[in-house]
Amino acid sequence: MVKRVLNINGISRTIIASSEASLADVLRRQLGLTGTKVGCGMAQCGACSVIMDGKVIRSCVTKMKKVEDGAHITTIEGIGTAEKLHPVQLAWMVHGGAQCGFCSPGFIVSAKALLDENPKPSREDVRDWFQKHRNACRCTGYKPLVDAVMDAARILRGEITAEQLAFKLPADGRVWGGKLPRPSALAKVTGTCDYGADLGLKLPPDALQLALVQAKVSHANILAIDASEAEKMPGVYKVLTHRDVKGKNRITGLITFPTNKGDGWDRPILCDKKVFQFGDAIAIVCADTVENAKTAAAKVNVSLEELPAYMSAPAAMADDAIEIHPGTPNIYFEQKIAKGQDTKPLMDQAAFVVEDDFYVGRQPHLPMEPDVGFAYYDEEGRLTIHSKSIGIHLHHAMICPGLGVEPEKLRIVQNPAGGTFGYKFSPTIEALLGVACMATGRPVCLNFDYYQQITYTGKRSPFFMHLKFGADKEGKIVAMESDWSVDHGPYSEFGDLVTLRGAQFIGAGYGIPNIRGIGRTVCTNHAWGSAFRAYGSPQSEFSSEVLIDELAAKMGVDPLELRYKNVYRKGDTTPNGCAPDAYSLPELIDKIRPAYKAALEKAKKESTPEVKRGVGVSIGIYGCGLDGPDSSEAVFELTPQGVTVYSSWEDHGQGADMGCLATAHEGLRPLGIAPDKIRLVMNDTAVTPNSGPAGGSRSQVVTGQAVRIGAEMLVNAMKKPDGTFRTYDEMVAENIPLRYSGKWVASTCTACDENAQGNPFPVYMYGAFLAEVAVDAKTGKTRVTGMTCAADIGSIANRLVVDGQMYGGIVQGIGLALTEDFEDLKKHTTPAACGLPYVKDAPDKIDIIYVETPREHGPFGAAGVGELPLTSPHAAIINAIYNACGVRITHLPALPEKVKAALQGAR
Amino acid sequence: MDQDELRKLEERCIQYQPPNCAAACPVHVDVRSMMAQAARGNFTEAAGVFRKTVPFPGIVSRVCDEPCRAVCKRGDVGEPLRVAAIEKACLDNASEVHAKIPLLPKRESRVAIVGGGLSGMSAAFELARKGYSTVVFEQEPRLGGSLWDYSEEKLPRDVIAEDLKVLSKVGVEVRLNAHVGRDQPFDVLCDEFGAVYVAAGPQAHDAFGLARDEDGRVTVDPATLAASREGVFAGGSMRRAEGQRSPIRSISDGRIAATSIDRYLQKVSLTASRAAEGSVESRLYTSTEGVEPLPATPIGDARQGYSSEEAVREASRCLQCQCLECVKVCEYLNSFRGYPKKYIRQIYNNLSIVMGHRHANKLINSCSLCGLCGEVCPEDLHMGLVCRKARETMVEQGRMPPSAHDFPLRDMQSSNSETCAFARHQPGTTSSRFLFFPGCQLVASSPKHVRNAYALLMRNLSEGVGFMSRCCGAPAQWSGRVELFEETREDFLASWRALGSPLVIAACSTCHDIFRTHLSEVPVVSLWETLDNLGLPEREEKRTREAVAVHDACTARHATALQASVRSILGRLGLEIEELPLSREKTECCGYGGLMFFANPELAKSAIRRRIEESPRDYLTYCAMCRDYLAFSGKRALHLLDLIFDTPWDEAALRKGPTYSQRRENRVRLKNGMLRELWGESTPQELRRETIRLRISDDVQQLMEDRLILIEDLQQVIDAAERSGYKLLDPVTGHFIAHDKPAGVTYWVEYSAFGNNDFLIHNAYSHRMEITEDLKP
Repeated sequence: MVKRVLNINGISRTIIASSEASLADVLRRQLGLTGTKVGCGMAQCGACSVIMDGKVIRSCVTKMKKVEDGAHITTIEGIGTAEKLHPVQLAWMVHGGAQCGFCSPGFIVSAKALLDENPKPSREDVRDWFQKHRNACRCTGYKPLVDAVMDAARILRGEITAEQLAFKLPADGRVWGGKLPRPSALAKVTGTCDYGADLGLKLPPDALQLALVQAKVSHANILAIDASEAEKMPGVYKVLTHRDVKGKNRITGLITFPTNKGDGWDRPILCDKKVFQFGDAIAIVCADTVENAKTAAAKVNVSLEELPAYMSAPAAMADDAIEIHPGTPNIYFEQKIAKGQDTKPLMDQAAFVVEDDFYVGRQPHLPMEPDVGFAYYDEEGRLTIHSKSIGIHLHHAMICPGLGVEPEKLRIVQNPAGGTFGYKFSPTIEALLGVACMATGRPVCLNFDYYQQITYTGKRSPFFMHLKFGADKEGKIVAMESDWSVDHGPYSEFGDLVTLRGAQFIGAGYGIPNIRGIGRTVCTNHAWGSAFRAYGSPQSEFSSEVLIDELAAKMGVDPLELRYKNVYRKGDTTPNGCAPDAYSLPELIDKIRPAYKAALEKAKKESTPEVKRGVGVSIGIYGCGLDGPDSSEAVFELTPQGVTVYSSWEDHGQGADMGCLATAHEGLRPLGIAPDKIRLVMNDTAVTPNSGPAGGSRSQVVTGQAVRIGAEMLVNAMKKPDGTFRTYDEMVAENIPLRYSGKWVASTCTACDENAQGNPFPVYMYGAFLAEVAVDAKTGKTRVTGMTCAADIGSIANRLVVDGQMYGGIVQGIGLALTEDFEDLKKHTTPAACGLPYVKDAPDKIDIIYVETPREHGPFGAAGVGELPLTSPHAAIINAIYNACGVRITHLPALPEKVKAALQGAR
Repeated sequence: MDQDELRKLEERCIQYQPPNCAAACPVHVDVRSMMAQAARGNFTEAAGVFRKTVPFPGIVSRVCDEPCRAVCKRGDVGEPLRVAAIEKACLDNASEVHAKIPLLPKRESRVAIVGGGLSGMSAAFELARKGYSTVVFEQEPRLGGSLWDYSEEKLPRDVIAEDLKVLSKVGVEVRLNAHVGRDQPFDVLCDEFGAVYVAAGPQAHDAFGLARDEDGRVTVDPATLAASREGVFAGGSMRRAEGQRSPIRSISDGRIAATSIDRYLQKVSLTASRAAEGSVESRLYTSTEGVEPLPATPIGDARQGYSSEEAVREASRCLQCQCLECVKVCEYLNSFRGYPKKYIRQIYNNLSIVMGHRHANKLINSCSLCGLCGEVCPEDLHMGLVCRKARETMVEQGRMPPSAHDFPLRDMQSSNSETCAFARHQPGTTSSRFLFFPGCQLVASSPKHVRNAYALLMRNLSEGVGFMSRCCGAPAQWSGRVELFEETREDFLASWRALGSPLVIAACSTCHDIFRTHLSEVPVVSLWETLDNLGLPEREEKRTREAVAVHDACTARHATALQASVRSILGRLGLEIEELPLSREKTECCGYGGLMFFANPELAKSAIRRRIEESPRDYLTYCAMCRDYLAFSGKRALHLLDLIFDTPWDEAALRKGPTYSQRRENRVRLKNGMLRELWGESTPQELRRETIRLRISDDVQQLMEDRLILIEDLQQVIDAAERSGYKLLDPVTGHFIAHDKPAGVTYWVEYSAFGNNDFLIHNAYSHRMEITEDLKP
């Protein structure tokens, strides 16, 4: 133990702590200063940054024995408060710097230190600073953060006032389409937003801390589990195994396509017979402290019969591969696509035929906040599970039978989430928390460390694709043949769905009349496949967006113009044989053409033998909604204070609160209500209706429609014959109901059939990407120097949120193209090793051009946005590498050694 | 059904089992698919199937010792297929397609192969594909080992050379003239490489210190080919006696060793889940009944082998072995385009879906539960039991669509209601030794026969024959309503006990079956056995020997005494009997069983069509529903009681069954009439709405029949509409449109009124809403 007297945020505090404890832990656990977040816990993300004696340090790896007596420490709580914001905090809000907000305290503290040292930094100075201090952000693409620091510096220098920078509602009071900062921004920039780990620390003292006993192998039969030694360890309350699970001990994928050869009940909560992947949970130790729980977990003895591990789709598809789930073949689902005529004769006659193999890998989500949750019994005896779930009703149904609890006795609540990007479409720790709470009757808390976050949450499912285009002599694609194998890991939940995405998005954007193809879902022992932003399309569109460049090269024509010739026009249909909802692609290409030409010119001029520069393009499409008649519900209630909106519009960090508020406010505009009179109650199955999960860019469209309808119902009910509106008191006096449930169904949609034909989505998003790269000829390292995206996402609900989504998604695309992977279980275990883009990996030049085509089926004309920026930017980057140096990388990521090898091969 | 039960059931459907040829082939060439392609002249595709499994196709097609031929089912009807000769022809005639060989990512470990014969090369190929750096040590200056012992004519040298190219494609390193043991100490090899496969061939004089048997052959674990030294595996000819050597088994050994080495290097179990490797026995059953015996196609030019035409002819002899015994005889199983293993999984999935479409509801509800599948299945798998259990689960989970069985259940409710059901001792007595139980459908179909049969029984039996009209509960049982069936059963038992627990004489085979299987405390005998014992009514003259085809009721499948008595009665009546191909324990359902007709009328109709096409003769039935369903589809069909009570033949055979409305009415009338006439009891007042007169044309009557709408349903709708005034006037036609939803179904009626209580019906329809949940991620 050490005793230290520290000056923390201007106040002298005496602290007695373990000499091995980290400063972050002491600040958070002992001083309750939970504004300082712990992300990776290994000094790679900067969420834990504090200023110590004038220097930015990462408190998660700063041990107390290294903290000197008398040190001055500034945490986010010492930077500014809600009443008295620091200019950096204000600028952060105004520029949409806080999306999920988990990295914001660390960034703001870091930026404050920068401005203390350098009052007039250049943009590059700011970027260098964040790079040096390892401040990582997964949401914003960094550009808004640099913008914020530049504006904060201007205020500090007295060039503008805080009032000038602060957001003001326009004269008409309209929120829709404006830049109102999201309601949660203030708490996020001041460090007062409590995420799961923060709330976990604030649970009652009898709460048990959980540690998992996890598989260290990828495939095995379980012979025995012996917890007797662990149970005797200090502080241990109970050790739980599958025998303690009261229900079916399986998480169900809910949806099983009828032709699925699996049964959807393949994922154990706690492994009983087999281990299916590395990290599988075998036992839970419940103890008084995390440390005691972890120490005891190491004492649980699991005897295994190890089985061969099939770590990729081809390995699991081999004839001699054994069934990973005995009784179900490893290839458990096949999805055909058949549109138009048979393609074989068309290919034989086509003037140009191109084909190639493509691979897009197991992209890790890398949210700044590792998975976390807690559970307890509420006052009505309901098992209440708090987590990062972005599908609270969905997860309720998925885990209920496995836990063995009556549906009405299970409640799921979403905590503020420090980023998910889709991994939380799958239940992760919910069922484990449920098991532990049910078995102990005590509040329980489980917080993954970052190693667990990486190795034991779902990942993007790798696609192995073979694609072939046949085009006529003008370059019009007349036939497409596709074949794709999806490595979905050992658990089938939504595996059939992502395989269907291959049929929906390979070749999307182009009016290809004749298509034949087949996709298959393959069970493997690598990380299970979960949703990831743009679900299925970054894989699918990578193949068609690179192959069309190969076609352009073969024909000797410009790749942008070849796209222009082929994109959807009136009369064309999607691969699913339905009409797209807007024909904006020609206009989007027109919008990026000037930038494209200028970029080509610039690249040509600046290219050197050492650093080769190039330009690439791609188009991106994604549907908003879940296949077929997707639906949602939102409830409006008039209160004496204003209007309360109840919805389960879950928040990954993307801005559910702002989307809900903007849509509700627009719907309630006839009332002339101020946005601060609209109260949002969100994401608690006990009180909010089933609005469906937050995925597939459906929320703004489907839940947005439910919100619009709910608002309109309330407005109609309040309307008097003379056109004015009743007050709350008048409504009560006239005995008019105060609560209205808005429901919307995408009733024009039909799910795809066995040939993948249908009309699956009510609304689509369209984009055209332009990438500029510089390739170091010696090392093969590629740097993205600029990205431009022309996007049609319908009418815009909130420009800050939408910009943030676009920037962030594009930078994730850069990661997908160049660095991100989760393949090697030994190597890919930290954010940096997994290829997380830092600020200098992202270009400062990211330009977004909007084309706002109002959508018939979107609320007030809006489409979704979240998935669009990650549909195909990586394809543009890969095409730019080819343009720069003639190297075609078809197997992502385009790591320097791969580019280098190809360069050498080309020579 | 839990996962274990599912797997056990699936396991019993053997259709998924490989055919004998593929099972016996130690590397499991998919001979059946290859033959199917070759028979169509698709040689490229056929060769593709072969190449997928066999790394050295040119060699194997020439030297394979064909373990497949010994077990070929064609051998039972002719000669076994000449598989290798066809393989060769496929390769000869295939267009050159170099399929990509999928390679897995590189691994760190290195493997040494001692011996470059077929076995060693196979192991090297497999290991290289799996990403291992693989080195073959061959003591001779060339690879191939004993392949060179074959004559040039049998195995041309260029074929060997061509086939061996594949090794370099997958990156195998070959060291020729490398004599392990002499140039390279075996111990050093074992140290340098992660694992070693020793396949030194038949003449191997060195066993490298590995344990050997008394004949000097190296001893290995037969499942894994692990030799006595850690990390060393051995196989091929060096482990086999002179007479047991086999090229294809050498390849198989190489593959087994490669799998073992892969596992050994991954440090995982060598033995788990390996039962399917090497030659195995298949459980697939294939009937060769009715297959014309065919000899093998001769090879015209012995040097060239089969020409393409000859190969097509020979491949066409392949039986394409599969079981499908149940699918062949069952319209239901056939119509869903699969076989039980698939269906069971679909049913299981349907039951375990928490949220989302339940696509298999129709599959579950369409089965007649008749049990024919179980009779013909080599493994006694009875889909009816699976479907009935599934229905019970759906009902229990509250997920049975109410539409599926709404009509028959309400029909049952009506049969057991006060208006239809009754039970009495024989008139003038106070106790019953017997109880005549005609069953609700005979009452509905032929009330006259019921009365005649009762009279006959009363005449011939002493100590009292009671009478009971009600439904046995079969619709509840068939529809999976366990609780409802239990209630019905209890009601019956109470009524039966009140009569003094008499011996039940059942006219209906379904009732007979329900009593026997679910009411074991109730003694039961069929009407037919009873009549066969008692003798038939006196008649003027015996019929001239007309012949009928007997359609046994599916619920009498196992009631052999009942079946015999029916035939005995027919004999006494002087009729000749034709036995249908599917009769007695293998009889087919008429489409009523399991309520198939209500869940899937189209399927039921095609099942009936299939049945009536089996013989041109008039069908003789002993179940009222069988008769009416057959007659409904235009078959001349008689009921046994028609013959016993001497109904004029054509009138009986041609009689259309009553409509659903008439069936209901018949039950009410029978009760009222019998009570009045036999027991002298007064009958209840008619309800007001039954006094509503409806004029219904034949067309509309047919529509109502198709749509399962009863006259009383229309009466109820019109009654409600006329009382409430809640009806729409169509200004164009002047018709009223009204609807009402008495229970689960909404009825719509389009009608005109003629004065008081007199209505003309123009149209009637109903919705039986399917309630499906719909949520997807």
